[in-house]
Amino acid sequence: MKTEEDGTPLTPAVFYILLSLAIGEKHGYEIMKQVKQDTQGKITMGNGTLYGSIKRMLTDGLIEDGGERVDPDKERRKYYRLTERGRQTLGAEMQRYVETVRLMQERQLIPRLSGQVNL
Amino acid sequence: MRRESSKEKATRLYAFLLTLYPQGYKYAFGPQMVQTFKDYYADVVESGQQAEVPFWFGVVSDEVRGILREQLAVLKESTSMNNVWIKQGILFGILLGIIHIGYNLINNLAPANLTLNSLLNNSILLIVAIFTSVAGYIAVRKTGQLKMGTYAGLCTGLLSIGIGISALFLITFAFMSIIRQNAFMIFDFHRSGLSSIDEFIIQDAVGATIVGITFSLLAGGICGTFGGYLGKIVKGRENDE
Repeated sequence: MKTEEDGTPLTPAVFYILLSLAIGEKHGYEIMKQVKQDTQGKITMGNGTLYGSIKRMLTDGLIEDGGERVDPDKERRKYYRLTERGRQTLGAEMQRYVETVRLMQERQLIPRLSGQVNL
Repeated sequence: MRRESSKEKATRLYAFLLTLYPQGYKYAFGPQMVQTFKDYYADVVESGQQAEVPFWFGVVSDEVRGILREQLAVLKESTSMNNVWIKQGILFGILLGIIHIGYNLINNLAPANLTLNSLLNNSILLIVAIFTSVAGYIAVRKTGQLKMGTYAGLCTGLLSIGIGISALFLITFAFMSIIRQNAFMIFDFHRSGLSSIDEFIIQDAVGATIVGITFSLLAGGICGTFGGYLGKIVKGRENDE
C-alpha cells in the first residue's frame, strides 16, 4: 500500500529510526536507545532488526553513512545521518499521522485526546 | 594468564552468530553490529539491568529473524537474477532460432546463387552477434552483473543453434531430393571424393552442426559479455544521474 510519491506508510522500525536521526546523527546503539526512549519502552529494537532496517534505508537513500569516529571510550563507531530524502519521507509520514488524528477527532473517535492534541 | 571477561565471551558468541548472515551483509555491517552489541551488553547486562538469560533470549530471537530475512533476500535476489538471464536467453534464443530456420530453408532449398549465398552467410553471422549482444545488454541492465550478460549470450547462442540444427536435419531429410539438385552441393560432392551424394549431404550437415555450435558458443560468450559491458556502462551512467 505504498504511495509512489513519498514512500509512506513506513514500517514502525523505519519510522522510529528516521525520527531518532532527525535530531542529529547517531551510531547504532544510540539509535536503539533513542527508539526505546521515544516509544516509552514499547519498541525495543534488536541489532538484527536495526541493521536490517539500516541496510534497506541506505539502499532507499533515506539515510547515509556519517563516517566512522573513535569515541572518548576509544571504541570505533559508525554514524548515520538523515538525507534530504529521508527528511522529506519522515515529514510526509508525520503529516499522514496528523491527518489521521484530525480525522479521528472529526469523527470523535478519540474524544479524550481532542483537548490534548492541538493540530 | 588473563581470564576472559563475560563481555568478551558474549562478544565472541555474538560474533559467531553473525557468521550465519550472508557474506555481503556480514562484510558491510558485521563490525558495527559487534560494536553495537558490546554497547548494548555493557549498558544492559554489565549494569545489572537485565540478567544474561533473558538478554540472550532477546538477542538470539532477533538475530534468528534477521539471519532468515537476509538469507531469504539473497536467495530471492539470486533467483530473480537467474530468471533474468534465462528469460533473455530463451526470448532471444527462440527469435534467433526462427532466423536460423529461415537461413537453413533458403540455404538448402533456394537455387544456387553465389551473391545470395555470400549475403546469407555474412548476415547470419551479424545477426547472431547482434542478438547475443542485445540479450547480454538487457540482462546486465536489469541485474547490474556482468556475468549475467555472458550467461544470457551463451543461452541465446545455445538455444538458437539447437533450434537451427534441428531444423537443418529436418530439412535435410525432408527435402533430400531438392538438396541433391543444388549446384553448390554437387560441386562440393565431386571435390569430396565420397561415393554417395546422400552421404555427403549428411556429412555436410554434421560439419555445419560442429561449426554452428562452436561459433554460437563463442559468439554467445563474447558478444553477450560485450553487450553486458555496454549495459553496465549505461546503467552506471543512469545511476550517476
